Order: sequence, then structure tokens, then C-alpha cells
Amino acid sequence: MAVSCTASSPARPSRRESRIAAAILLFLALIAAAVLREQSRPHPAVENFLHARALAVGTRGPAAAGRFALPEGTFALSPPERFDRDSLSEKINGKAELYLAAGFVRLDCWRLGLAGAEDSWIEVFVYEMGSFENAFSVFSAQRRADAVGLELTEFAYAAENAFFFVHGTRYIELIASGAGEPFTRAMEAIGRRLIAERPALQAALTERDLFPSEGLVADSIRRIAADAFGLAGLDRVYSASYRTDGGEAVVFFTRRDHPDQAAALARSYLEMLRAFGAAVAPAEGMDGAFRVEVLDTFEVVFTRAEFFAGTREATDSGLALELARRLEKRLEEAGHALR
Amino acid sequence: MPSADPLDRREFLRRATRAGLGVALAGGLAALSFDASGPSASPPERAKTGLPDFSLPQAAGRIAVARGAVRRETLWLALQALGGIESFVGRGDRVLIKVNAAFASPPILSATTHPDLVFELARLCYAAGAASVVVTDNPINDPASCFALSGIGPAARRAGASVVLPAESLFRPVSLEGARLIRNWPVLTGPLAGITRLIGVAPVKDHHRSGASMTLKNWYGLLGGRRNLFHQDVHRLIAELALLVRPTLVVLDGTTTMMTNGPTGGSLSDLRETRTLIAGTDPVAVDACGAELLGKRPEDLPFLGAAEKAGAGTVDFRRLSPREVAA
Amino acid sequence: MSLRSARRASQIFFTVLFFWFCVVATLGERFTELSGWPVNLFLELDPLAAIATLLSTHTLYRGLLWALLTVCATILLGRVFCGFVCPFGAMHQFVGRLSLRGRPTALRLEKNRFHPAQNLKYVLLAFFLAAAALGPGGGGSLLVGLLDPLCLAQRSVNLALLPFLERLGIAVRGEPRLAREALAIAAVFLAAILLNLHRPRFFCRFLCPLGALLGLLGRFALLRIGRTPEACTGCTLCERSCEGACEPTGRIRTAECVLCLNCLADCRHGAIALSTRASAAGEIPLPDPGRRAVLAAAVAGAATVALGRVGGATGATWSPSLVRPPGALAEEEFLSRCIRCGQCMRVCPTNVIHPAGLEEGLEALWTPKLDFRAGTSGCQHTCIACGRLCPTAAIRPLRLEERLGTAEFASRGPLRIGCAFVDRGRCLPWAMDRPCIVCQENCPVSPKAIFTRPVYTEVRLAEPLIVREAAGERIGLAAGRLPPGRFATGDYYVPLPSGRRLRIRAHGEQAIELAAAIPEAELPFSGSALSIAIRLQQPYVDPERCIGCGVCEHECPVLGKRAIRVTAENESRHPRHRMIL
Repeated sequence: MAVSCTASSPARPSRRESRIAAAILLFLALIAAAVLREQSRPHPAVENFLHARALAVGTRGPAAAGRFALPEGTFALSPPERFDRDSLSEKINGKAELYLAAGFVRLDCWRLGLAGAEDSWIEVFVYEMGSFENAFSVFSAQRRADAVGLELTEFAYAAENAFFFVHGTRYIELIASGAGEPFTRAMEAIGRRLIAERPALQAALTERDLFPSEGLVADSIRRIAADAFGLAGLDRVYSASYRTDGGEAVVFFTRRDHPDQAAALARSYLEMLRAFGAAVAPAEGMDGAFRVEVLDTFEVVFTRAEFFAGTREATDSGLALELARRLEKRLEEAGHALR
Repeated sequence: MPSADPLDRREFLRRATRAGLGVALAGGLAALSFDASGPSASPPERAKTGLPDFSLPQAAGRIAVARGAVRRETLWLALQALGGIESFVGRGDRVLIKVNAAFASPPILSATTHPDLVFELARLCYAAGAASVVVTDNPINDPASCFALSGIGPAARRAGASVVLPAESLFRPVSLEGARLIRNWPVLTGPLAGITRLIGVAPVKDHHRSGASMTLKNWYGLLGGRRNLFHQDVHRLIAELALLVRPTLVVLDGTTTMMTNGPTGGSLSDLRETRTLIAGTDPVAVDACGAELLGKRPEDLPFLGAAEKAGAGTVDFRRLSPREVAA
Repeated sequence: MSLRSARRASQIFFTVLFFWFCVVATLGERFTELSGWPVNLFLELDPLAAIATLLSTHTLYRGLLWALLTVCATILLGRVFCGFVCPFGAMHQFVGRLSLRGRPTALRLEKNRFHPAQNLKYVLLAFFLAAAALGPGGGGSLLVGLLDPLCLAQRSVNLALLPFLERLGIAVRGEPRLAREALAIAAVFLAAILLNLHRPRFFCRFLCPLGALLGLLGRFALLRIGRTPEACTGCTLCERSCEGACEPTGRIRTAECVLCLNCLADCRHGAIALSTRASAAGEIPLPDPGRRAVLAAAVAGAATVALGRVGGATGATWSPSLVRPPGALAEEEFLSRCIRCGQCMRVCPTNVIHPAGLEEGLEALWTPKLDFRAGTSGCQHTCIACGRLCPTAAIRPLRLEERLGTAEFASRGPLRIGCAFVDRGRCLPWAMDRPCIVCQENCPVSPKAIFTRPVYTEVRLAEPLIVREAAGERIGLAAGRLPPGRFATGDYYVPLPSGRRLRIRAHGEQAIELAAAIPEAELPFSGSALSIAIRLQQPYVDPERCIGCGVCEHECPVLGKRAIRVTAENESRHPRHRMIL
């Protein structure tokens, strides 16, 4: 019943004492084992932690991305990230130049998961481009061939697994990890949320009216932000494709601040073509215009007031001239209206 | 090594017993007080649900309108038309009169229940055999000054009634079933203890937030806490009050009506002689009738419709065929 | 192997375990993060925390039941917790041992002799238990957390030592965490440690209220240190290293004995034993702090809590700056549970919970408070870690649904910890004519609690602008220069006489290009003055939606005193603090 242990000397503990000491060590080992076993079972505080951390990391520091209310059925899978002009290439290396040249301001992107579907996510890219025109540039420059029109905004289309659209000064890409109805529905919801978030940002593409309507290939209008047609300094160019019975061609124009600038631009353009080995001659039946023949295609370029404009890549020289004339007429009308 | 010494042995047994008792006590205490789930959301709900119902089923839906300039007369006439005070107060009843003593302003401004009315009502109750009559309110201004300056306090005492001023200890949290606003809210329940009859007496006043302050709005004076919060949704509050407080009788004094700048008024030019006193057992009908004195239709006062919808009474008081009497 | 060695092994084991638990108590699933570690183990084994909450709340919350183990062990074996388990005691013992190392035996005997002031700890115990038991509204205040050795150690390591090491670049995971009040907390901790240079185990002998409690509980311990009837030579060697200063050679003071077992190991004559028998030299089973002192301390404890609340800190004059973590109980109930251990602050994934300083009153010292500037973000509205970890349920364990106000909690709405208020005198679009919608953008609730209303204001220019000519969408200036690029951000407009405004698309120093052509009738004349308007989106808070998470305050670009700040108004835990219906 009673246990007493006496140490006869500090160097030699009694056997009984040693046994008790060993029992204590064994007890400690048992505690260690129990603690380790406990470790393997998630603590109630850790529940739901993934979600919390995803949101927490994302708002660290002043560069935090703007967030919006997540549509039902989606949840944040990764923290929002933000990139500026200096860091854009960290996110979309290789394509950054396209955006930078078009006046890119910043990119906010994050990944949303779809509830109930493992490994299903949608990545949201919101490119702030500074102006509607810039946003349109990157939008039009990347228009996918298999595009299906969307009613989200005026400039929006869908690919099988993605939505692309311009909203005000922002170019937005929603890219899903797969194709199918749940993704489309979620992307639609996300798109609407993004639009609702900043309802005031709508803008219109007034330049569209300057293109002659006949033969214009739907959704082919592009804005080339910089270095159009390989010519440095040729920027802010609108172009569109045409298809008629007589063949195919591209119509383009750009508006400079002053007629002299337009003329200078035309000169350097023609010089570049000459250097390419093109044959340049005054166009018959159109004052001040030049007819260019290069590698089996035809061009007619001209300047009118601040506009430098023309046709390119025409399969037929007659078509090139005819489209140039119609464009000239539209520009003149527009020029009056603008004044 | 077991101890051979009987003294040691006894000492050890004594200790072992006590230690064992200690362990048992600690274990028992721990088991008794063990709480695996932790405390609940809000501080423990000590709230009472609702208040006692003081209405008399046999007197339901009665309303009388008396015309005249002298309150003691019109009160008596109106009560007679309802079957006499005896239909409401009997021998041994303990009566609580809830007045409107909201402001420390003189009777002449009609911002508070008129002292004559308090005196006469208390007197009539005693005459009908009441064992005690208590007058109370939780005013906006300092309670003692309110009861003194409004003349209600002295008038009540003259009639032998006692005045209960609100004190923190007299409030208890009360919840009204299904209510959105009156939930776990402090209510002046102290004066209600032991009460068998509740009579509300209020003047007809314009009210900046609710449009009108009459017998229903008068129950606001039973609320404690930061009740001004309720002004954000005053109509719903009045409707909930109408459900919470079911009086034996209400008396609405429209002898002089505060037409503008309510509920405080302050100028005699805010007042108009309307020479009407309404009494009844359906506060919603009484208030609907009183609204006419303010030149308002019942539709102008959303709390009336809300109270009716909640089941607290009838807005269309004419359906109750009010008795009209004149002095 | 001697019992002393086993005791040392045990102390090392528990001390390492204690520090490990502190280190891993950050939110995460990895082995070096919280995952499943029972990081509250020591706080839960602490019978003082358990008994104090039992006195203040009349309940024993969940893990505090473990304290029963300590209580029973103490009743049967004496202060075995102090000698074998307590990590704070082990630290003291280690430092005290170092301080006496190689010193003459006479000095060591002197330092390890009983001192009457050791009774002070019983007085302190009476003070703290009375403070816990006797509050003005029933439950008292757990002031004991300030001095309870386990709370003190846990808090000091969590909120001073670890952040300090992280700052030095040691044991950093991610960015080093901020720890407000670290200096004050560390000062107490260091003082407790350094006092060992004066006497070994100073804190344990003189101050520790837990030691006092265990000393009393061990009154009838079955096994105890004492003299055997065998001959004692009176060499006093056994008192040379006595940690409890309990004087085993004479009438041993059993309540002071921390079971360090040094005497057992040091005696060469078999005169000391751990035995069921009482000491042959007699025992002093109970301390004698003096009835009056104990009574006075108890009265003082109760009075401290009552006096602390005379100012209305838990009532009418509640502090709006004291934003408590989500799930915190109403203030009085909170104070009757919070032991100031700092676990919630350590586990908070955004480092937004900090110990309150004296600015929130003595009673709230070092209790958790949200500091949205110090955090890496606001309080994440999908996070419930703090309440799940709190060992005493001062912060209730929530379900996520309750916090978000979904499922069966839908009728109650989301849990609010405060409400954001825009400081219109500091807000950029309100006071400075600068566009900014950072708070609105970052508001995490859905629909957003912060919304903006647009206003147009005339821009203050260095010099007046005079029109040279205007045509189409262009305006040329005759006088006045525009700072390059400043007005081309899309927020600036040229107002027209009709009240319409045209957005400035681009501008040079003296030329403005608008987004649309000016109607013929509204073209400004040459020589007329031109003004520029800015479109500002001024933020407003919808109190019905705001949950007080403070993300807006954290993100506000006015970095000092933020232009939008959360205060405790409208917090769910207090119906009294309700601001709207």
C-alpha cells in the first residue's frame, strides 16, 4: 500500500526508485504518443482554413486587388493577384508586350473554384487598359476564330471554354478549366457580376461608323495600338476585313492630330513598302492616292485631312481602288460631322 | 515498506480518506459543471414572453364618443355609455393607470394627460371598489419633474392613487412572440405586478415620426432601454405595442388636440379645442376615431393598419357602432 | 536512474512540448502549423484557470476538464505539477540553478531557506479568486490571467518572444507578425525570470497563485517528502538545492514543497524519503498567510472588479474602439472568461487580433482587440479560428454558417463585430478632391456594405484657364497650363453650360481632347474661362450590410488615422450596442 523510496546515496538510487523513474519516462512517452496521435486529427480551428487563408493572403498590402461578390456556386480558389506594367510578364510572359503597347495599366486575376466539381475552376483576368480604345485594341487583336457572340457587352464573344469581353476601360477574360454547361453558366454569372460592379464604364466604338458597310466582314474591326503593319510610329489604326464577289481586302485608317502628321505617316509608309520592293504609282481616278502592288496583292493609300487611310492585301486592284473610294467618301462625310 | 507503526497507519488512513474525498469532490464538481458546447450566442435569454392580458372578453369592441368641454363630465358620460365604470373595475381590483407624462410641461400645453382626467378616473375606480390605483409612466424627461409639472402626480395623490416613478429595478426584458422589434427589450413591468386592471389615458397629439400619438403610442411609455432606436421603424413598433399591451380600457382625451408640432408642442397655437373624449376597449378603434380630430384618415397612420393586421383591433371603428353622447 | 533525473526529463519534455505548441499555434495544416496539435494542453491542465472560470461562470468549459487531472494528481501526490510539468517553473528552476552554480553552500542554504513573504502567493490567490467569483453582475473578472503562470508564459511566448525571434529572422514563416504590447508583456516575463537571480524559483515561491492553489490542494497528499526516523546528521545538504524552500530538515512545509526531489537525491544518509508516512521531524501542513490578509485580499479582489466597472466600462461608457474578435461574448461575460493567454492572437491568420493596452482600461489589459492597421488584412469573414481555439470560450466556438448568417442562422443575419464609419474630413474623395474607391472595392461582403455616390466638383487650378479656340472635341488654351497627364485619367470632365459634362480623353499643356464633340451651341468662346470638373465617387456605409470586418480600414490609403474606421457600434454580441433596427 504505502510506497516509500529511500536513496541510500546520490550515486546509487534504489531499484524501487529506478523502477518508478522508468515508469515516469514511460508515462512521458505515452503522453508524446497521445499528442502525436492528436496531431493527426484536424483541430476544429483548422476547419475551413483553406478558404480563410486564400482570402487572407490576397488582401495583404496596399496592392490588393479589388474583389467582387462571388456568384453562388463559386468560391475563391486562389488569392487575388495584381500585376502592373513592370510585373505583367510574370503572369503572361510573352503576351505582355501586346498589352503594354496598348496602354496596359494593371491586371487583377484570381482563380475561382466551382462548388461540387473537383478540379474545376475559372481564372478571371481583368485587364485595366486605361481607356476603352485600348481595351478594344487588345480585345480585337486576340479575337478567336471560333468565336460565338455574347450579349454580355457590345464587344464580347465566347470560345468553347472562355469568355472575352470589353467592359468600359477593362478587357476581361474568363478562362475555364473545361468546357460545358456548368462552366458557361458560372462564367456568365461572373461576367455579369464584374459588369455590375462598375456599371458606369460603358463606351461606344464610334469609329465603327467610318467603315463602309458593304462587304464588311462581321466582327472583323480591329484597333491596332502600335506598330501597325510593321511600321514603327503607325499606331491607333483601325482596320477591318472585306469580302465581296470581286475578292478580299483589308480597309484601314488612322486619325492623327494634324493633316501634316497624316501626310508624313503616309510618306514613311510608302517608303517602307518601296524598301520591300513594292511598285508604287499614283492611283488612277483618285486624287493624291497611291496604288501599290506588293507580292501579288494590291493597296491603295491616301490622306484626307487628319486621316491616313487605305486598302491593303486586296486580291484585286479594282477592288482595292473601289474600297478606297468608298472609304474616302465616308471619311469626308464623317470629317464634316466631326467638325 | 509498509508501515508497522499504528499511529502512522492511522494517520495515513485519515489522509487517504480525505484525499479520496477531495478527488471525489473535485470530480463531482467538474462533472456537474462540465459544459461541452460553450455559452450560447447572446447573454442568456431571461426575457419574459409577453405581458398579461388585461382585456375583458365580455366588454370587447366597445367604444363611446362624448362631446363636451369639461373632462370630468365627458369621462363620466363616455363610461356610462360603455356600461359604467363598474363594467371594468370591481371590488378588490388593483388598477394601473398608464398616463402620458412624457414631458415636463404644464397641463395647459396638452402634451401630457390632463390631471383632471387622472383624478376623476382614479376617483371613479375607487368608487367602484378598487383596492388600489397606481399611476405610472416612463417619461422622456426627468420622471419626477414630469409627474410634478404635468400636474398628474398631485392629481393622482389627491384621488388616493399612488404614483410609481420608473427605476432600473422595475424593468424586465420582455419578448413579444413573433415580434421583430420587441425582443428581449426592457419593459416597465414592475408596476404591473399584482395588477388586475390596466387603463390607458392619453391626449390626442400630432407626432413628428408616427403622425399621431394617441392611446397606442402611449404604450411606448412602458419601454425602457434605448427606445429611441425604435423611431427608425415607429409604425411597426406601435403595431407590436398594440399586441403586447392588452388593456382593460383606454381613454383618449381630445378635449384639446395638439394639431401641429407634436409630440412636444409648446405653443397654444398648436392646440385646437375639439371638445371630444373617446373611451373604449379596442385601442385601435379608439385611435382610428381620434385620428379624425387631427384631420387625418386612418389610412394616413400606417400603424393603425399594421395593428389591425396583427390582430390588435379594428380600424373601421364605425363597425363597432360607437355610442355618441353629449354633455 | 534516480527520481531526480526522471523529474528533469519530465521538465525538459514538457518545456519543449510547451514551446513547440507555441510555435505551431498558427493556422495551417502542415506538421509545423496548428494542424491537430493540442496546443491548449497546458492552459487546459491549469486548475487555476479552470477553478477561476468555474467561480465566474459556474461552468467548466470543454477542455478545462483536463484540469481535473491536475487537481486529482495534486490531491494524491502534492505539487507534482510544479515540479514535473509546469514549463514556467522549469524555466525558473533552470535560471535559478544557473545563478547559484558554484556559489558557496552557505549562500545557497541562505537563498533556499523559507521566507515568510512566501505567504504572499496565498494572499494573491485569495485576491484573484474573489475577483473571479464576485462581480457586480454575478460573474467576476478573470484578472488571474495576468499572473497565472501558464497564461503568463503562453502569452509571453506567443506575443513577445516568438514575434521577437521572427523579427530577428529566426523561425519566420512568411512575414514576421506584429505584436503590439510586446514590450510590456516581455517586461513582465523577463522580470519574473530575472527575479530568479535574487532567489531561485522566486515567482513560484512568492507570487504564483497556481502554486498556492496546488499547495492547498495537496494538503492530504498520500506521498510526501519527509524525514525518516533514521538518524539525520544535520548536515543540511538536502536544503542546498531545495526549490520550494520548504525546509525538509526541520518541520517540512508541505504546501511549499514542489517535489523537485533534490533533497532525496542529495541526502547521503537515507534520512529523507518520499513516503506515505508523515515526516519524522514533524510537518507544517498548511501555510499561514494570516486570516486578515487573506480576507483583505478577497475584499480587495471583489472591490477591484466592482470599482473597475463603476466607470461604466461594461455599460454606458463602453469603449467603441474595443472591437472584439468574432464570437466574443458580451463584455461582462467575456471578462469572466478571458484568461489573456494570447492563443486567439497567435492563431489569427491575418494577425489582426492584438492585446489591448491600458487605453481600454485595467480590466481589459491584454485581452484581445482587433487592430486593423496592424493586421495583414481585416478580420476574414470566412474565418472562425479564434473562437475554435479559445480555451475558455470567451470567444465562442462558431460555426461558419453562424458567422456568415446562412442556413439556420439566416434570420439573424451575419455576425457583426462592429461597423465602419467614413471620416469625411480625411477621406480623399470627400475632403481632398482625389478619386479613390479602395474601401468600396475591397469590401468583402455581398452585396457590398460600402457603396459610392458620384459627385462632380470643380478642380482647383494653379491659374485660370482661358480658351483660345474650341472645335469638335478639342479645346485649345490661350492661358493656363495643364500639368502633363494629370487630367487624362478618365475622372476629369469639362462642364458645359447645359450642365452636361464631357470627359477629358487626353490633354497636352494647352490642348484638351474630349471623349465626344461639344455641341455647336455650347462651344466655349475664345477668351472665355474654362473649368475642369472631377468625378468623385464618395463612399457610404450601409450599416445593415457592414459586419465590421475592417478590410476597408486596413486598405484605406490614408495610412495614419484611416479615413474609414471600424468601431464596435452595432456589434452582435451586445444587443445594447445596436445602432439600427
